[in-house]
Amino acid sequence: MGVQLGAIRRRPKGLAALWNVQNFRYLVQAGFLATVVVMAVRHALVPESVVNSPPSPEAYCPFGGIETLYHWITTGKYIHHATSSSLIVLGGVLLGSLALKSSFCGWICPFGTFQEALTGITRFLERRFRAVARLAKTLKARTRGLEVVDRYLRWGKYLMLAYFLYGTILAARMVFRPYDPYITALNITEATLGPGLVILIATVVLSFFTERPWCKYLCPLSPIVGLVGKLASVKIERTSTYCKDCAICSVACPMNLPVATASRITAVDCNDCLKCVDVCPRTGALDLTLRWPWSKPLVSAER
Amino acid sequence: MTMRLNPFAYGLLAVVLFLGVIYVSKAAGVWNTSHRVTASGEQITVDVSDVDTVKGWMTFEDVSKAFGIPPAEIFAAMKLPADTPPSKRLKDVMHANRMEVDDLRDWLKKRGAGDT
Repeated sequence: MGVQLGAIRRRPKGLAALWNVQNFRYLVQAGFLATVVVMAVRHALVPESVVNSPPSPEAYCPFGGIETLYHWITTGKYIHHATSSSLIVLGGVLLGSLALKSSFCGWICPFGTFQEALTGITRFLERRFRAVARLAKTLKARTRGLEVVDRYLRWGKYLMLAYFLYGTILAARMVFRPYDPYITALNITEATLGPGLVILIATVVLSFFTERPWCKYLCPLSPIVGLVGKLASVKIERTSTYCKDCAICSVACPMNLPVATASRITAVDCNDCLKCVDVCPRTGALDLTLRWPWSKPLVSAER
Repeated sequence: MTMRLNPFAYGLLAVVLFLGVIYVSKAAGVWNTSHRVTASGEQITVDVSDVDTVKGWMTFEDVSKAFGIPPAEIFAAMKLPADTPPSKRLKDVMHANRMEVDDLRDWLKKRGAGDT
């Protein structure tokens, strides 16, 4: 029996309701985050002077691959703190972006998960305590005028990428490392007061008020993933014939993208968390599609 | 051709692709996460002609032995306490004194060029 497109989606109830895309995504994210935390703890506990000591989770950071890429191409060597794994993980991320857009950001990146978890605490408190919900509503209303600032701040990640890439090529060392909140968090037992710790604390605090602040404004990896992802044939597509303009998708988007008014989500900022697809109440109105550049949209008839 | 994708399949594919690349590189023998050994399992040691082979996990004794510089001279040049045990890791001592191992590498480079 086929599903009628445009009809209200029937949501499962009871225990079956737990099996949804977002819970599956949280499970995947939790798996990667837990792996990285275990690696960081093991690395902190076993001295590196021991042969076969556990690897640092830094070895799995794709930005290390970006930083060492130029040095590796020109000299065949890796810059300090980078190993062959840095380049291989970068390759995995880029391949993923080419095939599945920003799936790395929305499903795998442990630092993105960490920020989402912090925002989750605020959402939980909002649901649980009316006073917190009221406070959040007031804060949202008062900061509505800051949307223009938000738009400009998003260019920060491109500046970060350009600055640190240029600096790394020039100095042949990881100039971004002291500023990297993720690396600081991984080596928290060795952390000293510096830019990395300050940015980490700021990210933690901001995450309680806005979703994924580091990803939105400063992460130098997200523009690379997003730009490569533009080449992917997989996109989130809105079919206006079935859409009733409720805009619930735009509200759900953690990156504050105007999903409800777009026909295809091609924004670099989209992290493919699929929250918009998940909340859409109409069958066929918002879907994840695979479309070749020469193919027509699912339903070409516009309202 | 345009087709709808199942979001569950999308997530699964993202994980398989990411881990698959790592698995294939491990199978091919090019995967290495260690600063102590190379991908082929060879021990990384200090090469006096290349100060970049000095790693944070090495000790002052290792550096002293390789470059033929007394630990006391290294401590004085890096403005480290003279009573620092030479058996301590470079990374630990340098970080405790708000410096990076790169600072030591820079000094070794300069010293090699006869600047100090």
